[in-house]
Amino acid sequence: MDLRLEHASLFVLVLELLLCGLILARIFAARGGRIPFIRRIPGLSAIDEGVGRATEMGRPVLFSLGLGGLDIVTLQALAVLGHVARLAARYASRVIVPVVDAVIFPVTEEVLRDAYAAEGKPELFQPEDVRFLSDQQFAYASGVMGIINRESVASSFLFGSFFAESLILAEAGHQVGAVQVAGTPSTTQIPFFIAACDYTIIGEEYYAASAYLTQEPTFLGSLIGQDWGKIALLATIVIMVGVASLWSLTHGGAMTGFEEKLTGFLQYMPGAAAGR
Amino acid sequence: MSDAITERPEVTAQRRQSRIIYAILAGLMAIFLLFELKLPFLVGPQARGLYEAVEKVPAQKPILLVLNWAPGTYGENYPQTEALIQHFFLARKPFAIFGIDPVGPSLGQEIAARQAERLGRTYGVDWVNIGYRPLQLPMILGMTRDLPGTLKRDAQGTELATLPLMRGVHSARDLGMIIDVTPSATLDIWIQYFHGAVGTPVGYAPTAVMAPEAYPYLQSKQIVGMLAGIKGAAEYAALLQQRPDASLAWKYPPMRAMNAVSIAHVLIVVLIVLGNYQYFTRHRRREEQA
Amino acid sequence: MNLDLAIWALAALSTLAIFSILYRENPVYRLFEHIFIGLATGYGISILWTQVLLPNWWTPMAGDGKWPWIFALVVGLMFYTIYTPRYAWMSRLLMATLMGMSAGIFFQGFARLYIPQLAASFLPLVQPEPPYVLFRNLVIVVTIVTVMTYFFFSFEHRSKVVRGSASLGRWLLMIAFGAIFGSTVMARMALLTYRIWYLLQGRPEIGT
Repeated sequence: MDLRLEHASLFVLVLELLLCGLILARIFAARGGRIPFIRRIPGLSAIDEGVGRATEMGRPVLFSLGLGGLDIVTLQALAVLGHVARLAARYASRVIVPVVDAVIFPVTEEVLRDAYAAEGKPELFQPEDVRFLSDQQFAYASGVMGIINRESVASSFLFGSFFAESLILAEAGHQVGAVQVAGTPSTTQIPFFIAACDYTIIGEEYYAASAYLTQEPTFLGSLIGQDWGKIALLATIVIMVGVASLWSLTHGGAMTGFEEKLTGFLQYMPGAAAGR
Repeated sequence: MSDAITERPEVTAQRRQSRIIYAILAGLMAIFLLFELKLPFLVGPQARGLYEAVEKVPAQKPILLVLNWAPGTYGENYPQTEALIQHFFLARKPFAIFGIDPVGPSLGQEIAARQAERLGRTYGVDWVNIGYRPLQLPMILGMTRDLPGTLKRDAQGTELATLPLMRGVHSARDLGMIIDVTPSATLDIWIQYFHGAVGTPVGYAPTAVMAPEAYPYLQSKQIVGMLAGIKGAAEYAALLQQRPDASLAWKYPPMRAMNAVSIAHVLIVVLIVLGNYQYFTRHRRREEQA
Repeated sequence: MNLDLAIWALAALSTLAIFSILYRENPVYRLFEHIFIGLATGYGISILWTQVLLPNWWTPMAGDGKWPWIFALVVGLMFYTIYTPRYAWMSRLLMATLMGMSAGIFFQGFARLYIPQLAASFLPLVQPEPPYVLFRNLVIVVTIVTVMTYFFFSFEHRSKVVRGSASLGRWLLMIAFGAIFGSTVMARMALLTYRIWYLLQGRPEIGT
């Protein structure tokens, strides 16, 4: 049996241990009292503003968790929902959460119920505000559009995995004059959110959201550990660009030998050799 | 509830403007769809790369044409599929339709059956339709090791091992290429478990939304070529037209569709320029008044 | 009545009903929105049973005698314990297992997808062959470095070098997003083009 098809290589194991080690080290350090610093992320600061506006206007807040199932992206979105729900509970505002996945539905209800209870207002939680629409992309989008228009939401938060329906949702919110804050790791949808929303959280900032909003040591430590991992990868790129440039200088621009040596090293890594 | 809340005047004005723009857009596109115009056309390296890669596939290694699209993206994925299938039939490259979306393979079946009848190609020899299988990791791993054993039958219930096209196919190494026609991010599966594991060449035909994300894969040669949306389909059609044996028939002609899309782009660029001009002149007027 | 023509007419009516939201929210849009949601959900349930549960779970268990598959139902039912505070820990156990599995599978996939791209970024910035490739290599390397700098959270962007690099990274991100936006506009226009084609040319001939 060809184990390359089944298992990761030694290199992947080493890489995994290194990255996990960095993250765990920072988490334990943070839990031990060394709370790390993270810089300000403007889009996340706008969340409070959005909820406040909804309270002033007496209209509800809409929070969409995107099209993902129970995965990391949706869990991040649920963490942000928890923060938004607590703010809304404090100001006695409604939060309407349309949901696309039946597995997420009870989890979402629990997050919302806990948020209202934590603010001492469990009676304000309305179960009908968490609505399972459909697991089909455009059916969900048309349902959310309908909710935005009929409820005339004052603020719209779009956090999670989005695909082609992203601009449909953002435009619907724009048309009713809602303040919109969006965050997604889906690169292809970020341009639409930037064009149609008031604030957009892009790329890695999305994964920093839960740490930034909750300021919990575990989340902060994890974020800083990831930063160290990125620094290690960036250093690798800079060093290897230097090596490649030196090779080009000493071999008159011919990179064949360099690529062969790199391919030889990549043989120890899954799949990489096939690309060259 | 929306009736109870009075719309702001600026929102009403914006809605009126939007309706005019929608009407102009629909009108222009309808004109360009009804009348065939030969506009200048350039074929990009991504489509050409895929075309040449298909030409190089050995005749004894079938191509796995993965159709993961549904009617929602008909406008882009249908002409891509039709272009690819016509190329396979003309160049005599055997292929197998497969899908991890329920509807994709049946849409491919319609195209392949129609083109096969027109070009005199035989089911089981020149093409097969394996049909839909739900996406599960054990199935993908099984396909790489023992494709006929994992998938077992075609969409009509015939054992794959009995079909002449599939007789030489045991594992992923016996496939000439995998081409993924999809509106979703399914490319990763084929790169991870097929190209990454055994080096099977992978081609990609996404909707235009997904195309920019694929450029890193092109740069690192993890995919051999790409058809980016309707433009990719039109480029492929242009390449097919240059073949000496070109006998093409389209249910939804990609080049005429691309003409309509092009005029829409021109309109959008004009509106962007006008909109920015209005924005900056209003801004300057406000500054002068202040 | 000709069935193909009736199907086309229904599809055309549905298209126009959903497009009516462009004018304003109205009962026709609402009706077809609810029909769409209901149909999509019903279709999804039907596919779930006929294509997933029936061939992969029910038939092996009830038809082929593989009785251990019953435990799949038991494990799946554990998820519903989320509604009871006393037994909710069972659902958390299930979710944690799924999360751990997917994290492990994801890491291997990450290595196969992105290590080759990392290797492809080791580009020479001096005397490449052919010479025009130098500009391309420079753009790629500068973009990677500056965009990664923008996404560092553990320190304030105070120093001129870091601030400048992060700022350039942000500009390059916006340029990339503009290109993605343009691609997606093309995708939307392509879908609209097909809808207009379908309304104009897509109807079957009467009598066929």
